[in-house]
Amino acid sequence: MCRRLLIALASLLSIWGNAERSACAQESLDDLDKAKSGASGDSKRATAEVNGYVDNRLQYGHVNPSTTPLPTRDVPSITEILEANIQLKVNITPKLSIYTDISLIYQNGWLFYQSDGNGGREQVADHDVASIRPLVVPSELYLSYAPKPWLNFLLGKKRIIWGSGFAFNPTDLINPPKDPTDPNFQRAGAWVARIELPFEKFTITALFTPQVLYQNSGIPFALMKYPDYPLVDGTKPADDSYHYLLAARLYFLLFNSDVNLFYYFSNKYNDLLENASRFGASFSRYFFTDYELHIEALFQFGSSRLYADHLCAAASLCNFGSAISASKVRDGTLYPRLVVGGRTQFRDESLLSIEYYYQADGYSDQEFEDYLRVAYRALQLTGGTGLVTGSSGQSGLPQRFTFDPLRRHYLIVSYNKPRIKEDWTIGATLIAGLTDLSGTISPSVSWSVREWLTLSLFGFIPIRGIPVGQVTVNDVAISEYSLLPIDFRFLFEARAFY
Amino acid sequence: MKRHTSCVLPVSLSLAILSLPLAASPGEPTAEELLRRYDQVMSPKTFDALMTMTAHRQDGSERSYKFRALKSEDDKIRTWFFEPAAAKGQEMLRVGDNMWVYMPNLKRAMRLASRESFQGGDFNNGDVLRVNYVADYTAKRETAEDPKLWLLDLTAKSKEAAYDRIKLWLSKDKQQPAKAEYYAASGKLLRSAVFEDVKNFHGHERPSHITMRNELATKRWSEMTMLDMKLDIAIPAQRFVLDDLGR
Repeated sequence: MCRRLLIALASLLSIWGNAERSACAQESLDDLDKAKSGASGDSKRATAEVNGYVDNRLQYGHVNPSTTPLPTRDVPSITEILEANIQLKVNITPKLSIYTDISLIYQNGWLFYQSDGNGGREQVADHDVASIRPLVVPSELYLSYAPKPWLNFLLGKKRIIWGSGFAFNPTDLINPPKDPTDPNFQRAGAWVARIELPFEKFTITALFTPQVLYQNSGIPFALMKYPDYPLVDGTKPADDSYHYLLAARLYFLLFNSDVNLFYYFSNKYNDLLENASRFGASFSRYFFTDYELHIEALFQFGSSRLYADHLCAAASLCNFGSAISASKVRDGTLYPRLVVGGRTQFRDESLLSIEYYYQADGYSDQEFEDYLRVAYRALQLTGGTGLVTGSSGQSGLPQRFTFDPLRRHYLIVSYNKPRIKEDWTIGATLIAGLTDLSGTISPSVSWSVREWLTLSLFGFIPIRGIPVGQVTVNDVAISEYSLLPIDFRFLFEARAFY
Repeated sequence: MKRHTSCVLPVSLSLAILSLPLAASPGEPTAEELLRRYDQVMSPKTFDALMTMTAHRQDGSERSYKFRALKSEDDKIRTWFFEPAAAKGQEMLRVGDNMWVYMPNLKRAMRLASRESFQGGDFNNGDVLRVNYVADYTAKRETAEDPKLWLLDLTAKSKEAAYDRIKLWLSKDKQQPAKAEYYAASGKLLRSAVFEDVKNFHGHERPSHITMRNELATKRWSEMTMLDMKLDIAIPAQRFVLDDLGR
């Protein structure tokens, strides 16, 4: 056992050594190739490249339980996240490679509050919260084999994004959602088996992904079908269905435009749609030299969104077991989702991105009001537990912000201006619900102290909206983003690359 | 009146003649030949190159990038960044008028514009990824003040070109680029470049060092150094496909 451990350690050190050499200064292509294939220059030898970062995020949010029907008991005011990331690529042969992008994350939270029942808040003792436990996130971990230049097989976990949307991709049914206030932030992918045929003018891709149903420390132990037995914590199998998604995609470069066509067939993959076919398309092109325009759309029949029963919401008494359900999952109606946006870089190198997002299955005013009535009543009846519990945080990296739109029309604007003073960059992202003019604004300032070190300060401020399009529940006017359980949030991030 | 006209006419004629593009004398290269020569020197048909780009900023600090560039026979270019650590894994691709950058943190490629800054330095993306002056510019010869240099006045054929107008000087002895000035459509001088230190890379002679000065922020400048360059490289066409970025 000890001998095996020593051999494994020696192999790792050897790979690390090669990687370090490749990172050192090379002054010629031969040096570079030698460094990549070891000092011997033997091209048959396995080679490795490594990089990554260490990132610390310290966050404070002013929790306000009176703004939301969701429980805040498990929302910490102070959160600390320390992430050590390694991205290692091992080229076993020129045609076969293994890639890993793994993060070890320590996280913890302190200072919890809940509603005191009189519109104020009271402190709750620090306690264990599943979503802020330390975790391992294998964002990517896959084997890639390319027997021919035009044929590539991939097996493992990978983030695959085909759509052209910048902050949001409605056609992305595969991956955990990304943070639209920082599209760079979410790197975690999905477990997939993929065949890709890249040709000069077009690419054909077919992909199968089983849903991860149970996982521990980032490693799945139930894929596609729930085990027949309950878990040790008493969790029972949700159903005996197969949860998976099949996808086919055709990409082509046509008239200087990126065009993608998608077909998805899924069964209860991250939603409740059964044997569902979905179609999508995306387009991206530069016009007038400097203006990028993109369109991304998904078309599906039925929606797995949860809607409140109107009669139940309006009645004084209600069975909450059936008050909220996916009532449109089999209604046969076409529900498109669409992003239209553009991006440009000005002469001062500042970058502006504007996107409009529409989802046909978003709540109307009445549906939103019904949903809130049921949610508030549930909160009162359950003494603070409510209908919804916090996300487990197991699907990807802990996010600064998750975009989970409830209504139909949104505007996402982001502006980034580098070099306000050499290494200082300022930016802001606005996410606005156009129905009730509520949203969030996320200003940021970053300082690249060194080529390998960046310090950033982010703010998240909900805009509660103006009295247009708000719904009134229990004599309180509510907009979508007034539901956020915080008045403001600040995050300080230090990231060191290696 | 008559006398006045007779006085003005020769002056006008002289000015008109001076402003006309110079026709190449017998034995001298034409504007088109010099432009082709520039492309041959700076962007041969295929190559595999290792380069560094150092951006010197207004506060005196600098940022350096090291990258490898591959060019295919049909004028496609792909780059891989090795340094600094924050840019490691980034890749760029140009196919025709299309440019993309692959961001490893984003795990995806995004479109780029030709005139956007290359890694925040004073070169733009077109300077590095789109060196095909024969395709992008029409050239006329002009008289250079320095008798050892040829002067070309280049006008962009389309908005996709990196600049609207370029003045380009080439040395007469080795027909190597010597300096250049890059202008906006308004005539405003945007940048100026000096090409130096001609080296022989495996049989191919070219300037190994380019200094690009930002004429709008005069304390800023960038350097591009060619560390190594190999020509006549056979590269599979799939290396120049969008879906190959990040592999």
